[in-house]
Amino acid sequence: MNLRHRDLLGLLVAGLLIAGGAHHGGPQLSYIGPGAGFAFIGSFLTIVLSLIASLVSLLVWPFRMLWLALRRQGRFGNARVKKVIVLGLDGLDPNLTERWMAEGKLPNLQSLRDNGHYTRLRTTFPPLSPVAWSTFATGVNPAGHNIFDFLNRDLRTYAPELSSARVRNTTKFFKLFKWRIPFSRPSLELRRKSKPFWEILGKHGIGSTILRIPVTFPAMPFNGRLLSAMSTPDLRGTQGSFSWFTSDAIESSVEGGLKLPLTRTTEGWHGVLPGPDGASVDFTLQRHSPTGCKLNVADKTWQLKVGEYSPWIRLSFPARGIVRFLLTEIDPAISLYVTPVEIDPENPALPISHPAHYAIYLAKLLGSFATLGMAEDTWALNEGAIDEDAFLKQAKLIQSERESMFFNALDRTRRGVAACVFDTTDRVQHMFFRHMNAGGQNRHAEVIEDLYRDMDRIVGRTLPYVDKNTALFVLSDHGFCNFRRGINLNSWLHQNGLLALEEGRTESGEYFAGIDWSRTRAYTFGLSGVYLNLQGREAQGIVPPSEAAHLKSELLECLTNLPDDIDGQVAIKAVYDSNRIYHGPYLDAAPDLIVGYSPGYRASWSAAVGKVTTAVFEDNHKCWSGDHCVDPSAVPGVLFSNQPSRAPDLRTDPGIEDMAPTILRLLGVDPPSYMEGQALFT
Amino acid sequence: MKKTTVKLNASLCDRARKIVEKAGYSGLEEFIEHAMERDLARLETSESKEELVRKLQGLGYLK
Repeated sequence: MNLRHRDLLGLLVAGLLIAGGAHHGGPQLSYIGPGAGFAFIGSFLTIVLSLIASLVSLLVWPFRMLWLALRRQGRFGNARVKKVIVLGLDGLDPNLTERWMAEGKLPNLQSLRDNGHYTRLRTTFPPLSPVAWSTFATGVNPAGHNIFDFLNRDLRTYAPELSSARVRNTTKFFKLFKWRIPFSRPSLELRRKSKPFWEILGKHGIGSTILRIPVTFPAMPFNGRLLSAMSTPDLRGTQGSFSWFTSDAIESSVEGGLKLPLTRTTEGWHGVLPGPDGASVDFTLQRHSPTGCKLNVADKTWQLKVGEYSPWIRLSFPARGIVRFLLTEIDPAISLYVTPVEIDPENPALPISHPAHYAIYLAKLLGSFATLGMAEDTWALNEGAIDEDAFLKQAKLIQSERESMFFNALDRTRRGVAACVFDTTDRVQHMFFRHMNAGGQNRHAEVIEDLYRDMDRIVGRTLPYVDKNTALFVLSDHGFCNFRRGINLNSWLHQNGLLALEEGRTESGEYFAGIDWSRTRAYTFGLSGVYLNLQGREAQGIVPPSEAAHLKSELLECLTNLPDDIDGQVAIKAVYDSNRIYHGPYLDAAPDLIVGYSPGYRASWSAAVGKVTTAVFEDNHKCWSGDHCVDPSAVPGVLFSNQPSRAPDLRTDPGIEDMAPTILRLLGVDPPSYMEGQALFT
Repeated sequence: MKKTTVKLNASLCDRARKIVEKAGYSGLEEFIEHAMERDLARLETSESKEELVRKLQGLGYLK
């Protein structure tokens, strides 16, 4: 405050005091106390101070603008572009993309290729989304960011855990009516290490909007906005448990969900939807037409029509969740599918965004949206709770939510990074690959082609946001192939005397129930790793470290080119020693060997959950019929850009680890020395 | 996620600072967290196998 202001304030206060003192001379009608005087002075002070603040603000405005302009100049001083747009299309396959571009079915990608740049993008060992997108974000190999698979193991118990995030709930609760209220918040940990490029940019004053890039839960603070993706749990703490109500069911577990009964009432049916920690919400259904029911839940009524999803409905457990209901059948029995209870973005129970209000802002502005890590319910389709059409409708609803968010981010981003990953491409290919070459009679034969065309439409919608100061990248983390046969390497290890079962057993249970660790030298679980039961590392390890290298090379030799027992086809293309393909501080946590399956093969469903069966090979009959958990050379991703290649002859083998340094360099920030990738464009 | 401040021996930190990037860490903080995690994995009580398996339910890639 300057001298003039202080004088003015002094005069005002003095004047008020004099005016107050004058009362003492006259008749005192009543005592009103000092409060009124203070209130009067207080409000006057507020007005005066506001006026002063406005005046000061006006006076310094030109200097502030100048300072901000100078700072911005500093931030973007070495930048080649002002804005980077990343459109991630999870699992977009180069073979299919190139085929449909050649047939003129993907005009926007074609134009991007012709006027900019296109290349196949090398993926990670193994080519899995959490691994590859973590490398995309950090510019380091898996031993630098600690994500090697979907699963990690507890070395003391051999128990599996999600590799990307750890949520530990409190064990102490108090009961309030029907609810159990936890005493403290759950402990949360992002298991992906190193630093994503958006944190580095943030430290240089460059903001980013990061939407649904996998392995970003819990959301970490940085200079920008982020919405979490893959590994975000549902409200029950699982990776997505649906509920499937039928009027003729008894309660039972199905893969990925629960089958629950609807009980007959005088007016219709009654169901109980399970929530977190034993809490539940009751609902009723009343039939009101040949194809529809009235749903009463949370004191509101909704009209359900067979085959149509309800909007997101908010429920209180008391933690807030959202669900969609889908009436799948009405005659002869009622069948009702309910999505997993997802975290309500308007009232998030866990940190799904940074800043915390970003999810709330998006939900208020664009409507509620799916928050679960893998929201497209593949298990509901596998288990028959929904059919192909319902799965596609769900995937499209989620994609449409994502599209609104992405274009909202593009509208808001004038400088910095706007990045979004669409995973519809991955989920739909997983579930519809079996239809692709099925011929004309199959009405789902063109689902994947239509999906690629739709992604091309999104690329076309993005192009108007690209000017000469913008770098656009359209990329995928891996490609796709079919999944025809599963291989159980635990069974192979058992048959070859390297894994032992307890006496009298011919098979094990899930996650190694019934394994005799004292006679087991190697084991597998997850989608691509083989582990030695190493002394001093695993709690019941028996392989002395001095024998580890020999055992690894023995396994490598035996498993490479392993033939299918039916037709002799090579089922394993290559096996990689992790010490040769990885380097970094988290190498100790890596599997000892990474298996590169041939296209058409994958770790079997039973091997993935650490089970030993009598057969090594098994047919895959599930709807989940496309996959990418094979040798990385068979499933590279794609990279399109509007940027010209700096030196294509020098960078003939661009990899996903090159993306983080490329983005940093384009925005004028030097990549840190620990990053392994190299900038693809100057 | 909340962060907390811990006072460490300055010369120890100086030694660590010299090698962290060479070792592949993004900074001193990550190096110290990794050291803590390695020991915690040995000392902390594990969650029950049933609870860990329950949390994986719904992950499309696994049965």
